[in-house]
Amino acid sequence: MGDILHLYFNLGYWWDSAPALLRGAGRTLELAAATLIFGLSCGLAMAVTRALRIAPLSVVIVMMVDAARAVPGIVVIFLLYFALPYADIRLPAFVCAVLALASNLAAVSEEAFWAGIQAVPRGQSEAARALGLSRLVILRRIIMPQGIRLGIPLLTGKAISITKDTALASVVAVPELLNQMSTEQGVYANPSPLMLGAIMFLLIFLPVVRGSRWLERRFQWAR
Amino acid sequence: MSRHKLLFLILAGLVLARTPARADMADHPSTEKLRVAAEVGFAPFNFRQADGSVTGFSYDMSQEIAKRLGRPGYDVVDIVFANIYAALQAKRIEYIIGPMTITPQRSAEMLFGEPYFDVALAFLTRADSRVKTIEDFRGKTVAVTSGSVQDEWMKANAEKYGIEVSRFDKTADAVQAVAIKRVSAYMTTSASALWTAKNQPVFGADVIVKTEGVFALPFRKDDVEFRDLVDVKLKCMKRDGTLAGIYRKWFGTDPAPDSATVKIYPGHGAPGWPGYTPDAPPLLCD
Repeated sequence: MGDILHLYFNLGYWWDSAPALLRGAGRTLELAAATLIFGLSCGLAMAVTRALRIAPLSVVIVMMVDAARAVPGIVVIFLLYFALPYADIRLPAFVCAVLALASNLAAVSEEAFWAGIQAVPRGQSEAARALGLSRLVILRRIIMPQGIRLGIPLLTGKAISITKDTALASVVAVPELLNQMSTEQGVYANPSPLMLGAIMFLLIFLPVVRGSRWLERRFQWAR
Repeated sequence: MSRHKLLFLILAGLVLARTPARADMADHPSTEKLRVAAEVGFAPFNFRQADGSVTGFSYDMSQEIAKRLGRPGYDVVDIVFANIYAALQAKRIEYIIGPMTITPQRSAEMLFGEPYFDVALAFLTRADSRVKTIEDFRGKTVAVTSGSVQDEWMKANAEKYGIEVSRFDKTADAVQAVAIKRVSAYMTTSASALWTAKNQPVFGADVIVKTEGVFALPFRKDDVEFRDLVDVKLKCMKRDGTLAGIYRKWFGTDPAPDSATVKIYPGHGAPGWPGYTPDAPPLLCD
């Protein structure tokens, strides 16, 4: 037992590594926020474009979505970080990570929003059409508000898992929380910073998990 | 990656909760292969050949130790550098073969054996780099391996020299980052930088930072009996020239006569560091 306390709950090492881990936690939050904002808005934009039912555009979107869902995020991060420079494009590591994770989230959220859009009964748009509303107005005022609400409960699980995947950015040296945990436990030759980092991950993502439950309930009720 | 680390953490915790930590030669069964760890990919100390097998100075050295311990074989577990300590403490391995400089923090947590290599630090750059002194890195990004002595050096000096630091889990990724101009240099052990620059002409090795550091094998803090046993084998390898031979094989020159690779230290462990025992029975080699 003394060993566990010394190796994982060593308050001295916790204190020493806390500043670096907190900086890392800040970077993790930035990564998560950027990924969510960018990924969800791209996903929504694609779903709306697809709802316009312009055949060539829809085909392109479906192809992009399938590709983005099929390739693991860490592979995309590696490609963007290590392969693109050969084409003389050097995106910052932070941007590589956000692009990789957001493209995956965008693909999944496009599917969810699209499913939501399709779940809106066809009779509604037919009725609106009969009242003389234009296609864009129908989309904006009738289909989208309901489609988004229907899509959100499908998305919360993915949103949580993608924000946790920000830890993947560690492999391209983004100084996020996991990266700092590695460094600190290495420097002190003691895994206590790992445990403190795990606790910080819990503190960051527990509210996200709770929030997603609230979102799911709220939007299910609205239905 | 992250999930593996967390899983590993939990498993390590469970293992520790179940096994009372006691120094015990039962952790080193003579009928089983010697289990050791390194961050494979740190040429020329331990790295993979084209066929996937591990080789290098550290690899050869501990292979010989395994042989002299009478163990039936030798297994190298590949673990990223920063996680190696947790693997050692969780008894997943018997000791760490990856080169490790003795530092105050590390020696507070682990027991070091006989020093075997003098360490200097260097910057692995691209061959076309115009860096001449450490001042030339001002405003530039330099990579290090997470948790390495270079990482620690940067924690103390990066601000002074105006260097931006990128910390990589794997040495191979850091070297790659230099090649693609992601970073201006990778700070590493000079022996490794010189070897890489010699074998891959796109690289150069600049600005050697002299240190008093030495590599020594790290053991669990309470594993004194095993440390002493391995120490004897290593001293004997120095005495009969085996270690110098391995050095020649990898570095192409003889080790300096006063270097840690040749010098046989008195006692057990590294003089001046915690866990050093000055008194040891006279050295008896087979």
